[in-house]
Amino acid sequence: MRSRSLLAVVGVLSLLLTTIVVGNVSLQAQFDPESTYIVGVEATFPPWAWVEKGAFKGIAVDAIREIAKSEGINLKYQELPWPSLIPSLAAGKIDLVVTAVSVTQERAKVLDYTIPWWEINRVVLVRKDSNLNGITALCCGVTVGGQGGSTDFEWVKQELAPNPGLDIRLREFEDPVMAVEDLKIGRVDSVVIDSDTGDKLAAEHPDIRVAARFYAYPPEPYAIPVTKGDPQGLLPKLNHGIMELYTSGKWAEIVHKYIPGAIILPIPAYMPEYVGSYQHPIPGLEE
Amino acid sequence: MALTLVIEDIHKAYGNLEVLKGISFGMQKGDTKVVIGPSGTGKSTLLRCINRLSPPDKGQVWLEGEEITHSKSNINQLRAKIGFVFQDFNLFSHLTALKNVSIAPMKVMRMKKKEAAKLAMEELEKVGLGDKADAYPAQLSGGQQQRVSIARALAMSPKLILFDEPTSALDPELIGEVLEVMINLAKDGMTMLVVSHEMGFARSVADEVIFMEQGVIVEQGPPQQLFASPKQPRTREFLHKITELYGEEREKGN
Amino acid sequence: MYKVILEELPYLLQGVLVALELLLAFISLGFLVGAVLAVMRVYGNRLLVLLAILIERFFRGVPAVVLLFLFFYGLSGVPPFVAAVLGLGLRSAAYQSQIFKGAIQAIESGQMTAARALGMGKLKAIRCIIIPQALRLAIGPWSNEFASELKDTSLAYTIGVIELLRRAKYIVSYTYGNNTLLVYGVCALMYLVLVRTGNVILYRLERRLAIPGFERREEGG
Repeated sequence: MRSRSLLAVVGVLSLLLTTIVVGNVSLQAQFDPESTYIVGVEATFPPWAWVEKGAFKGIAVDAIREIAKSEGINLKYQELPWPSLIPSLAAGKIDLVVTAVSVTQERAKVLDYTIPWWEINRVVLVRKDSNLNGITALCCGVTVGGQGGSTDFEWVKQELAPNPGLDIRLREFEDPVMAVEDLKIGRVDSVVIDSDTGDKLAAEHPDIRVAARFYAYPPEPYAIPVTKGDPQGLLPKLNHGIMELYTSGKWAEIVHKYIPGAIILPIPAYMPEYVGSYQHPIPGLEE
Repeated sequence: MALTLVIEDIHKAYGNLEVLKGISFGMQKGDTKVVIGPSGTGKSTLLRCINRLSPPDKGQVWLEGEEITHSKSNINQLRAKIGFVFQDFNLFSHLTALKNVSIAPMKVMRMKKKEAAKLAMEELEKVGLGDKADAYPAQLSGGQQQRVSIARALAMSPKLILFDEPTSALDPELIGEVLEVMINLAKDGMTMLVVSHEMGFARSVADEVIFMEQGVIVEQGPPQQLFASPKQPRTREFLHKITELYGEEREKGN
Repeated sequence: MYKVILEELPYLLQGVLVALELLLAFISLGFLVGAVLAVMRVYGNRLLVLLAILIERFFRGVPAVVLLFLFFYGLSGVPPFVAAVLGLGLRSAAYQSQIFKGAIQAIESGQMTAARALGMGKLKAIRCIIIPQALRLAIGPWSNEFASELKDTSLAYTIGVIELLRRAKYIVSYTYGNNTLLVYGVCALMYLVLVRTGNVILYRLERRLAIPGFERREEGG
């Protein structure tokens, strides 16, 4: 359930099946204020998205609620585990995804993104009582854990693990909280994770600490993905909504509610060239 | 008089073993015929060929002029006109005695539930089991079960009833109650073809006794004639063995 | 720590309801289709038997999660709950058909013969004589099936059915894993209660439907 290969299998299967079965990709490229759009949420990723007593909470969730209100979009929330989110979006089973989703070249092939609202860095978490540092936490016989399919874990998997000189073993998890659980009990030696979530987890767990912080270069942005080609015509509304949220100061409010003292980056954040929906003119933004 | 049952040259083989090698006879309405002979000579098979539970390899069977063995015949309709009483009773274990008797009239003859229940009760009373209407087969003795199965056959108003060794699976004390029902049926004019070892029954109500051995009819005739002076040596041999086995007392008792 | 659990208890119990809804829906589907498959296997001609075997092999051989994905992504316009009912239901059918097949074959052949001799057509005989008896025989093994199917409901989270286990996960997530064992322990307890209740109900059902005169199964299991 965590591996990227399952993601690939599911992606292939879904593409195969949706070409065989009559697809539901709507021909309408116009946003319809009467329609209800389905938001995919992964509710096990605080501080961006989680569920408390049956209610969705988190930066991404609060933000999309505000945007929906100001832009007049009817939304329905569908929670799905992380490995199911992107394939569902690609298959059109959901219309957008609201959680911490990084913009990557590979994902940009099957998805389109709103303007980015955040940039993340990477942290390496270890047990407080271990003597691992940033280097030794990622080499020399350690077991490294992380969320399968996340950019952080993919980085470890693709850049670090194949190097025999580094000699690391990998352990994939469906979400970061489970990874940290295993870190605490010693089944993994370090966990590589988004800086916001990593910092939050380190604050909540007295027995883990941040061993190192990596600054991503080029920067790794977060944005809201929609199905490629934006068949539901959501991008203009969403982009406009995000800008409104930022300029009105509400974005800062929301972020600080969950991460007090966080630095608010100007929106739009770093926009990689490989994303189709970042080519000018950007839908929804006046030039 | 049109014949109720006509059997013409029935052959049946199981694999390499030929069990019926050309059986032919006829029955008139109201006839009671008893088929006797050593076990394994195809007597049961013959009965099952008649209602095509075991389709014959060769030969034909007619019921009141309608050919049962014809491929285009409505076999279910024809089977509904032929009652069958099994050696092992084969009552439907999940149904009460009443339901056992009423289910076929309801499902096959499409009788309404109340009507069928009334009919079933009548038949059960005829066989002396009116008080056991709500009992399940597992709560009844062998003799009672067999009587219910006769009632079940009767409820369909059959033209002919086939009895496949109806008392062979019963304890000796229970045989009598079943034979009594069968004798009354015969006296009431039911057309019956009975495979049985019960010589006393044959003697008292059979119109004809048919002796079968190794897949063929060796001899047939009215019981007085067959039992007193059998023509064939094999018949004689068989009867001798049977009377030795069962003894004179039993014959007198029946 | 305990406070969180108490506050979240209603939410968790709702998850129990979701799991039960899902279970009842898909197990009923499995029941109907399973009965049909079993009848096909026992009474069908060569083609029907082959078809039944193929269907059974497929739905038994493919992992439950893959089946869930196949139905979720493969059928358009189908909400997660429906996809879960279809995927888990057809898989359940494959297993249930084995149970029914065994039950049907345990019935003496004389029952069918007697029904045919009375003039009932094959299908009518199956419907009126064989199936009622097979169902009674099937209840025993069926309670095992019920327990394992209940546990399978927790797989439906992969396609978005928010049942008990997923809700437990939520709680663990936002409390940052500080009470993992407690939360999952409560879940385990709930599943246990459900399984036990289900088994008791089925046992009572078996007793009520038992044909008088036959032996009854021992309580337990």
